[in-house]
Amino acid sequence: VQAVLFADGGLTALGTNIVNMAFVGVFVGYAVAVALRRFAVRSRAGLLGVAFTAALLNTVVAALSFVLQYAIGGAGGASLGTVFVLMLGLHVLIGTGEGVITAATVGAVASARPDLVHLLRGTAPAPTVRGAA
Amino acid sequence: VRTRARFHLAFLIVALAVAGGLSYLASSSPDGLDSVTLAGCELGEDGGPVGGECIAQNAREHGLAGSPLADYAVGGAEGSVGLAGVLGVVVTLVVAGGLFWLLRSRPRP
Repeated sequence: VQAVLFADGGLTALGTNIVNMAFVGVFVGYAVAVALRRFAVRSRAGLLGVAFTAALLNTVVAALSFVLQYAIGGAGGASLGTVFVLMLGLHVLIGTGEGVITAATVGAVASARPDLVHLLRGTAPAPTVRGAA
Repeated sequence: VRTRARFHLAFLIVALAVAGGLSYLASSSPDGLDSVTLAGCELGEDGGPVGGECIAQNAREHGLAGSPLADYAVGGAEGSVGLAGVLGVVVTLVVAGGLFWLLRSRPRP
């Protein structure tokens, strides 16, 4: 919708954008969350910490994935070192923001509907159904 | 079912409020990747690269730059970002909702 309807984000760049953010990023975040699962199930602070860490690393690794692609076939104009340092620095900042948002979201969902939080599967009793569905 | 309908209605209202109202508060500064592509260039009045060496000097006009909702404005009109946002929410809900609807779990025939 962003690239096609609002003409924001190149059409020819759509493939790399999807690979970096929807594939690399999502699977890094998922792998981090699964790897740190034992901290997430231990306490609420642990769950928020894992959500924050997964979102931070998701953002940073997706940015580094772009740097790798730039190294392989970038159009040029800036040196690889410059691109690496800027992408890493900026996306640590952006990732911190994403981490805070993710922790807040996961915390809210875990409070209201813990059964929807994949990491907590099998740890909490099934929610009682109030009223007729 | 009523709780779910209420939740969906509240969700829709919040999404429309964010897109139609809060979008006016959005930053017009370049985002992370944009600012990296501009590093090394001098910037013109429109924020585009005018001199120096940077990645963005290789950028070309977007293929759909002339489309009705390009750049989050309706027909290029100033101050129409809210309406463009509302339309974006509707399109996203229809596209994503339709795809998830196709993927919904059904009893096997």
